[in-house]
Amino acid sequence: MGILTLITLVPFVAVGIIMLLPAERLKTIKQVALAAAGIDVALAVYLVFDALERVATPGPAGAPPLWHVERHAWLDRLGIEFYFGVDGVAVLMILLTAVVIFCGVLASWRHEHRGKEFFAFLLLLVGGVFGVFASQDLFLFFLFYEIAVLPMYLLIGLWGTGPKEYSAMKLTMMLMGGSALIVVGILVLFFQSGSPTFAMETIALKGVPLATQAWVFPLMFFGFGTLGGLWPFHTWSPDGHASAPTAVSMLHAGVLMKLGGYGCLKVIWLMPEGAKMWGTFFLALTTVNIFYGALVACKKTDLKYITAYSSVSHCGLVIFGLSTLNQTGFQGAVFQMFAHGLMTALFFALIGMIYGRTHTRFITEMGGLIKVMPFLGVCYMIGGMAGLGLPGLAGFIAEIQVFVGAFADASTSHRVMTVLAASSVVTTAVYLLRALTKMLYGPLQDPHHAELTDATFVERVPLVILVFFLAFAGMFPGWMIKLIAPSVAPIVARLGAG
Amino acid sequence: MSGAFQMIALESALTLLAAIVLGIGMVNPKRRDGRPEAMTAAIGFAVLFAGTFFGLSPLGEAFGGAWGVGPLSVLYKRLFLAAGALTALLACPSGEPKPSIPRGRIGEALGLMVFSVTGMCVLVSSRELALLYTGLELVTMPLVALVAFHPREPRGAEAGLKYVFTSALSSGFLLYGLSFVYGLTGTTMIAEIAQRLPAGPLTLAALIMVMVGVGFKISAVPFHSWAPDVYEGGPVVVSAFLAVASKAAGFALFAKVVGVAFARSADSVSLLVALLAVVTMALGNLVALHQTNIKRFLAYSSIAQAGYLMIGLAPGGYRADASVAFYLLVYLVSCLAAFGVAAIVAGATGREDMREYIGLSESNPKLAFVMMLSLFSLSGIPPLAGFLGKFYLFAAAAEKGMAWLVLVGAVNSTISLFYYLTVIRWMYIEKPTPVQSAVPPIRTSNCAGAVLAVCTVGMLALGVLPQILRWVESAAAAGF
Repeated sequence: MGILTLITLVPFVAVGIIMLLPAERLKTIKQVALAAAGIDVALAVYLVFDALERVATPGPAGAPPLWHVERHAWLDRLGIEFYFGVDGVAVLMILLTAVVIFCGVLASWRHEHRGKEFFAFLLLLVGGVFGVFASQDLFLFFLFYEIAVLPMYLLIGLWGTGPKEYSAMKLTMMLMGGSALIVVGILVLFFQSGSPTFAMETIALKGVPLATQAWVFPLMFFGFGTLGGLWPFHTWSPDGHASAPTAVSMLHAGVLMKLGGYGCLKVIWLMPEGAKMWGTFFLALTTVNIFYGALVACKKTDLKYITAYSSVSHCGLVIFGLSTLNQTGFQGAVFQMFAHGLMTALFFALIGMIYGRTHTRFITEMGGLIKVMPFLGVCYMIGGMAGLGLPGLAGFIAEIQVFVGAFADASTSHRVMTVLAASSVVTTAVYLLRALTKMLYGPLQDPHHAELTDATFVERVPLVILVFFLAFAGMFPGWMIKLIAPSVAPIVARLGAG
Repeated sequence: MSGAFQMIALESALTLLAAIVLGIGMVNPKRRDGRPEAMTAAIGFAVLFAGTFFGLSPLGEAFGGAWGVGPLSVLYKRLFLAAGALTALLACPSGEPKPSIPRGRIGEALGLMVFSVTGMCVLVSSRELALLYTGLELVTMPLVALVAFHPREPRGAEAGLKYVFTSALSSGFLLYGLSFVYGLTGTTMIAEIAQRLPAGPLTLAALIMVMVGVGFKISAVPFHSWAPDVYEGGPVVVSAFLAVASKAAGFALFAKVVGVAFARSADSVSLLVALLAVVTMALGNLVALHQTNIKRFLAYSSIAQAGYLMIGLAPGGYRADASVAFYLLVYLVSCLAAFGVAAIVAGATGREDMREYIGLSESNPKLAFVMMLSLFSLSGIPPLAGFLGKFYLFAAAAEKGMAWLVLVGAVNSTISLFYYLTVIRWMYIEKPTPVQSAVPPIRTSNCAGAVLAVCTVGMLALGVLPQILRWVESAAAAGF
């Protein structure tokens, strides 16, 4: 069994163990979940070091390099294989997923209500996410994609807050609607390319007719874009993230939305001609994304809504980077996926912890919290700084590449949109600093808040891990670029060749 | 070539089984608790099912070509037998306060069901129209009696009446259409019809009439209106049998008559079936959104499922036959699991409304879990069988360039998720209120537990094992 199968299997095995344990032994259940996440972090770190050594050898022509390949015949009558393999982008995403689930389990250490099912569903979802990043077969990819998306309904519906049934249903219906578009696209790609298998590289190399790309590309791009928070199909995200419990928000905004961006990258690879036809259109949509998300975040006072809309804005930046269709833009987009994943996980973890103390998420009802909880306050500030793209943190490296990439395109429309999108940095600063100031500084709003305590040890661990990765990626981006660049270069080459 | 008797050994054995099941009650009429009958029927079905792997239904032809068994016929026979065995097991009484069939009359009910399965086996083995029609009537007639099994209950009587009228009407249409076919070709042998039937207005008229007739059997819109009332009014076990086995027989009939006999008008068939599929899915789904009675809900869900099946049927060819047969297997385990849980809950507590399923996940976690799996499978969520099943149906249509139909199917499948999730919401999310108490813990009998176990294993295995898909594809390639 290869390392990728192992990484994917570990969460599923943990789900099995948890299902067998009696519900009363919550402590053991949490330990199992944490152990599974820990094993995956270790494996993912190994995967990164290993990839950094392998990255010098180029992959096959026209396709990203592929490591740790596991390929077995499976549903052979339909051309479906069990086909695992990763490139640099996938390796980074697997690392991100492992880190976020590890921190997510720690952040829900005090979770009590129906804990057995909670951790089982959480790990089920993560297993699906690992599977998506490891899959090279479109059917397998889609299978894991659905496994990753569906548990969200129960995770929000059962353990959420506020209008949770509504949010859960809205999220599920919109994401599954996106899947409906994707499945059509997958089947059309398979049959029109005449590929004998659902392997992505075979379909990409065989190619599909131009007329097909013209309509299948937007279909699939919208399908994945829905999960990636693409405007105007982002509306599930604020409600869903606001209603979801802490760990679920962390995973969903931190990792699951990346599946959307990752899928979009694959779609561009599969249909370069379609991408060129529709690139500017999606660039325009994502400009709206970036701008609109930031503006709405300025109006919100609920911390979770602020973070959710900032996610819409930041995830828009991912697809914006992808829509530039050049090397720098792609690098920035992938970097942004990683940076935003950490950042937003940090935000939601902090919001969960702050809410657990103040029992409010409205910044209007908070103030001066830095005096009573300096650790949480400083972490929130670091997250905020990463969000508005302060150099030294991961967000900066991502944004600068995306905007440079977009501006590199000589056409006026691209440049105008780049200027518009880049100006949203200011808006971002407005809502982030406003929230920070309101929440952390000034006099205490509520006398009860004076008695609150700072983060416990168990709470500090995930925060430290996330902050560490944010700063590490911001100060030492070289290793990440080294992984990303050769993996997106073949996609760019295909775009240039036609 | 095997002897004629050997060719019909399975059907003869089934007739014998029916007689035995009916006769058990007469041995000791005073103590009729229904268990021996149900066990005999279930074991009998299971033995015959196993027998099909040991030459009980050999491939070949008999009676001058009117009777013929191909690999696909065998596949369907196994499906019918498995459905029969599971349904009989589900009917096995275990002292629940509200059994779906009165204990004293289980022998009669299951005897009729065995006859119906016999009819299904005849149906898939016939290569000649008159025999085919005889088989079809043998399927339907016992079902009429089964549906109206609670004669004193107005809903049951109404359901029976509705079923008898609509099935008679549909049979009339079918016969009328088939008479056109005979008039046009001068033969009742399906293989010869396929070669001789010219394309033309009369053929089209015949095709439409045949499709109306068959449409009733598979509850395709607009010929579906009997299904909800019948499913709701009949005993749960019978509804399960109708939804699974009878629908499978309908699709076998469809593939045989429309797919084979009208092979030369394939384009018209494709278009008509595709249109039927679209309206069936859409209407089934939209109406299912508003259902609260679990049996009615499953009825509309099964109408929508018939729509998905027609997506696979529309393109024609062996891939179409394979995808439909595979989905019917998937549907068998998924739907029976849902009906199984519904039957257990209704039998123990009398609750038939999904809003009364409140708290099921806490008082009966296993039942709720099986129900959730079956609903996910029906809506096509991996790694359950329904996902691969639907993907396969969609693949069959996409292969022939019917991408628009796939899109309609996929969107409908998303809509269906809404109501499947609604049931899950009542079981898992909603909290009991003073008005609506939680479901009390239910003791599941071994028989019913076995049915759910088999279905759960089936839902998981069909979704990932390549062997089953290979077997179905080879069978479909060889044909009926």
